[in-house]
Amino acid sequence: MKPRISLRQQGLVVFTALLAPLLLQTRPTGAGAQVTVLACALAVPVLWILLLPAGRGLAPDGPVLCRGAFAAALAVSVACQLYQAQRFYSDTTETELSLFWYTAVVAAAVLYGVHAGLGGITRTANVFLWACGGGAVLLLLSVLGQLRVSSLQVVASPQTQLWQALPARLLLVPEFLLPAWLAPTPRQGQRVTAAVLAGWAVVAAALAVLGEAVLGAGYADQSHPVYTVARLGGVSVFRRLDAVHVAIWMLLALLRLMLSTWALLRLLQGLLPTARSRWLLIPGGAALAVLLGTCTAQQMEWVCGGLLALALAAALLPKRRKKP
Amino acid sequence: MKHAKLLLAVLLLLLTSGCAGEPLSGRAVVNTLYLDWNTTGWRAVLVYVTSSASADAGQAKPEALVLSGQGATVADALQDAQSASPLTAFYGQNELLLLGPGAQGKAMYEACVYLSNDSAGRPNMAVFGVQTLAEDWQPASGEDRYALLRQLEQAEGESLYTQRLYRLAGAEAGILPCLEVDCRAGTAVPGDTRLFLGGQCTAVWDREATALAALIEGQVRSVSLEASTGRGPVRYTLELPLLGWEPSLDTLTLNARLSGYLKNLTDSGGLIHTGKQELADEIAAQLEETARRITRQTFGQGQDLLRMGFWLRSRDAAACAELERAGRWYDPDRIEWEVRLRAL
Repeated sequence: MKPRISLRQQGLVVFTALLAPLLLQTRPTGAGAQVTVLACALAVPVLWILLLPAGRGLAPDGPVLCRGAFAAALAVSVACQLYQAQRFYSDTTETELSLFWYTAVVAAAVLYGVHAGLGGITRTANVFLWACGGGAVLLLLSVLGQLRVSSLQVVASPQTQLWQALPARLLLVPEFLLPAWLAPTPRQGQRVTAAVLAGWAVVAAALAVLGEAVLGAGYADQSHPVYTVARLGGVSVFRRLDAVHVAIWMLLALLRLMLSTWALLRLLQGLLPTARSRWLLIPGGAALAVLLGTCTAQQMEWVCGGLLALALAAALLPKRRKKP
Repeated sequence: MKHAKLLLAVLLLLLTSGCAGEPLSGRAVVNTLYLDWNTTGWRAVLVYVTSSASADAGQAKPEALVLSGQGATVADALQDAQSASPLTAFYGQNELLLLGPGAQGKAMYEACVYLSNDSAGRPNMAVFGVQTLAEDWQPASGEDRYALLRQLEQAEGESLYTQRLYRLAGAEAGILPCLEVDCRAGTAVPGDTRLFLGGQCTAVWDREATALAALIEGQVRSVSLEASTGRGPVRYTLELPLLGWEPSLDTLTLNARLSGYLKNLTDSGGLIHTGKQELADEIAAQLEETARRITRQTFGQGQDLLRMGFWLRSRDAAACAELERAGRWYDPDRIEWEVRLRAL
């Protein structure tokens, strides 16, 4: 049963969830602003074409493999998100926050969000989006005096760097498939996906340009690029504003977790309707635990992307014929 | 039952608010950081502010105290400085870094890279060079450094060119504005500016050259300078400076045009009222010469510290990259200067 939430709201909640990985970067981007803008511009049409079969595949009468791979990708993504948010928080503040305690504290909020359903999550997303918008304005105001157009690095032949930067931009995250799954018809899902992808690309490009205009050549090597820019700025007597920004970004990470967990549980309900089939969760959980133990965070992201690619490939399979 | 759940939720909120760190009274809020280097290692001096506790808020006086330490690396020196006191150093409000005579040059970059990677600090700290040694910062008994701190802040505000930590952390070349600090007398005034290339001080810029560098980077809007002209020393204020960059793509040169208005032209006899435009032209010629000099000293030496090359590269990146590969990009004649001033 699809919840009756307008398409615009669905797009907004997915867009808000997509802002979290853009802001909570824990690794250097390795690419300057010019290459990032080009990579984002290229990635949008490529991703949109890749995501075209998603609406049909993720429908309740679509191939089981498609929804199963999507659910597995969501499970891996939830683990990645917990790890990334905890890493970011520990790196940027002086507190040592262990993964266990972070999960424990966040689990209460996430489970309540799941209980509240998509309607509750969407309403929360609106508030967070406003907060994020206010935070972005504050960020821009605080570094306005240090923005220099001449700090932007001009690359003579961006093609070589582009081929290196593009795979990172094309890495699939589950949030890309969510609009197609939530929308009533595949057509509408494709429209919402296009809007979400465009918004995501604009924000990613804008952050890269802002970062490089402030930091110059050193931007590409920063391990927390957006956080470093947030640390730089001050507005009148407020000399340190990064705590405000970190608080808003952690809220966005929380929203993304809520959305992913809700989608995961909803999918599992649909895939494993009977109590007997729920036993399949045990080997699934064991596989996830093995993955967590052996892979690094970056490898986990690639596993998630791979599972999503599998889901998209499976979406091209013919539909199950209904038993007469 | 509903009330119990609500109470549990509120309790959870209160208990997980994160208010458990070091209290403010246990922290030394570092205001100014001084670093020096010599053959025995790094010396660090932290100047931090506390206030003497008093029940009457109007009576509480801020005090500036000093912690010093030394070590083989910057991190060791800072740790040693902090260990001398029961307080934990807090660098979040530290916006001023002073580099002693030994720390300028090659050692400067090591210090800047360390400090800018430390997430507790601010990568946009203002960096200045001073000639004082670490020992000069030790106050005589009972003396506190608060007046000196205020003077330092004032000098930082008055300085024409502000260099940021993150600009120095990337490269082996940098512009370092200097302050003249007298710890005993408690005074600090802006001094001249030093240019470092490859770890060596290759040029010292006076106020006029510093002002031009600051104008090129867009750091100042109006400056008051002094020029020696045919009529003797003349003071003036340059208002509404406008720097236009016109790349010429066929010759791959950049025409830099500085225009502005001169106000308050005064000499030893007071405000000048006659022959103002001739004076303005003479001053413009001098500024042109200074601009060419600083271009030779930065761009001409292979380090585009004032980022002037951007205006050419952004128009034709491929041709500029080709020139750079051929080793002909950093030619001081590539940037032509023209200064036009009008006297008001």
